[in-house]
Amino acid sequence: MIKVSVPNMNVVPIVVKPVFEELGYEFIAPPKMSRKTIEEGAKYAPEFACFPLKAVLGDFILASRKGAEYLVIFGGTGPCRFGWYGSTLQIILKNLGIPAKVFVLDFPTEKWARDTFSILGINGSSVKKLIHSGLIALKKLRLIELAQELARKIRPFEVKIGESDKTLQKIYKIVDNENSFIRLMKMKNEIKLMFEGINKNSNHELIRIGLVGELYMCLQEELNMWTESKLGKLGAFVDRSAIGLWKYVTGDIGLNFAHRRAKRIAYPWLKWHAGGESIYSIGYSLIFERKGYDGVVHISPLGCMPEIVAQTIMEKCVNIPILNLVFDEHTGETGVNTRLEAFCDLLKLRKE
Amino acid sequence: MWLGVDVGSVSVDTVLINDKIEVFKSAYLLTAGMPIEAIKEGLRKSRDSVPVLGVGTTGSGRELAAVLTNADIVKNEITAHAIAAAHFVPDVRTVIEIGGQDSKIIILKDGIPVDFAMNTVCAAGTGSFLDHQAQRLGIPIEKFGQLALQSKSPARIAGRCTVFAESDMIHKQQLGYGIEDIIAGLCKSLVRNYLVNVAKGKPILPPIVFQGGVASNEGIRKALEEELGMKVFVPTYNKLMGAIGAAMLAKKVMKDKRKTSFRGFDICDMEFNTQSFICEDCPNTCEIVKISSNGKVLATWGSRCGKWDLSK
Ligand code: SF4
Ligand code: SF4
Repeated sequence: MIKVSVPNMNVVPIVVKPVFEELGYEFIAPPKMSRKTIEEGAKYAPEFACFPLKAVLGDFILASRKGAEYLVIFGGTGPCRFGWYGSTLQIILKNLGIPAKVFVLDFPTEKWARDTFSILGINGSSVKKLIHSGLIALKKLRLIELAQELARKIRPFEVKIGESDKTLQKIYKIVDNENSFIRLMKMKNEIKLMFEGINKNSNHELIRIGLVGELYMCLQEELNMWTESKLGKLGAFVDRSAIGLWKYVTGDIGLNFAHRRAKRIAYPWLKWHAGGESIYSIGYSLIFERKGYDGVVHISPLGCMPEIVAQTIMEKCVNIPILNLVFDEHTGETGVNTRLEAFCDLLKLRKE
Repeated sequence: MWLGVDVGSVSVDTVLINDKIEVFKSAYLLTAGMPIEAIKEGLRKSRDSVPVLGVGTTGSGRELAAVLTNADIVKNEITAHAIAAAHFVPDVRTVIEIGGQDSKIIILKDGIPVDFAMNTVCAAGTGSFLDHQAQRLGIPIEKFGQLALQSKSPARIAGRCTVFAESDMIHKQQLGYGIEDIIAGLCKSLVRNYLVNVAKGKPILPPIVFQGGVASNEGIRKALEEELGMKVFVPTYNKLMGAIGAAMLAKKVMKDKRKTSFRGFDICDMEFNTQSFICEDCPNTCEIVKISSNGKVLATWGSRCGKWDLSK
């Protein structure tokens, strides 16, 4: 059996596992992202590559050490450097003497993307089984996104700080190990109950913060130093409606209504999708402002052109406080904590 | 009396303030790599028999100071600096703070911070830039300000970065510029670096409060005023603003709390041990620090998964 792996990107490994197994591969999850991943990636990537590439490279190197032969990323052709990820990663791995092959998945509207699918064998497998595993994957994703949403709502009210995060980790495990569609269908209530069981104190004022920025950095909490969770613990409700895996997939093919609305709202300021989440960063920040939110946190990786464009435009058009956080392999956690804390203080003082 | 402790990367500042936010006692000490000793020494110097009603800590070492003192409130340095500045200059719009290793800008409106930025990576806009060049020139940093003021035509020292500034400075020396012109040039260079790296695009409106250790340097103050085309106000206790802010915050929280948790000034004579080790239980390899006194562990930090945290 050929061994296949994907990068860590929030819960992507959990979600895609059933599909790859259905296709007859052995799925190797990359080790949980750690300092080691980032170090390995940063060591072998070009210094000025954007930070996500370094992290993905780290994952690929570690996964190939675990035996992965096929490495799959979601990708495409741009418009920013993302379009070069596949080929860049392949060249770096080759130079390192790692024999693994990199595959880039995209919507099969172009010939190269169709070719990828046919090599991976998606064309040859039983359609019925594939759809079944696809539905399982989807269900897993929806369940996890529900759990994350609940965690965001409860964190600011936790009596025992950190309990939501622990519950979340538990749920990841349960969902990962459950492969029966019927039982997954029934799990929604179980998840809700688990969160309802957390002790809450409800008598303090809430600040509301919208999170925007580059998708991968926003989702990969080890890279953004747990920004979402920390904001929650500082007493903020974090709205992450701008970013999510499900949204990413549906938004890319124009099926997500909220994304289309955000694009429309951003239109006077940015007319083309400049890569990254740029257009959504602007659109959703404006939406958050209209909703009366207290502030926006904008996360981007160092060296990301599209998000710098977005940041500059946001400074002009968004009238609520924005905190820009830029991460790379040298970012110190203390500095991030200070900024987050100061930002929440500022929002609270404004309310008083 | 309220006690404020500001533990920065370069210095430890402590103050005791009274009800009217007047500084009663204070100390400013260099950390010299031994923050615990410096905190103890600072407390020893601001020790007094009047009862302490509350303790606040701030600065990058605020957690450490909080553990030693058992503080009532722990706050980040941005909030602390903003609060102190707004107390002394109620209509302040801009706070410029240049410290030894870091610098920040805070924009306020109606006494409330509305925006801020801080640098942490680049030293070019901080005090360490000056210290470094002072050492090179063999001139004590205290004389820098005076000398800079004597300059009639400051040398233009290029420098987005300390390394480039240094080579350019040597070049200017070789061209025969007077020492005061070079120093004035360095001051200008630091100010430009600060404005480019830290204040980047933020609207700098008067009244401007200039605080932090570097604000004592008249050369820098003059360069800043020239570059901005506006007057800046340096408060009497420019070095202590963080600690004053922390003490003010302590005063504020103690309104709803009855008794301070302060350990008392006896901590100056207590022994604190720190122990650090690397956790190898997962590839994060966190560096865990443990602080204990008399065999009792007071705090641990550094673990990313929370495994070593003390249960409260
Ligand atoms: S969005 Fe930014 S970080 Fe991501 S690939 Fe494009 S340039 Fe790089
Ligand atoms: S403290 Fe936790 S996260 Fe850090 S190395 Fe140990 S097990 Fe890993």
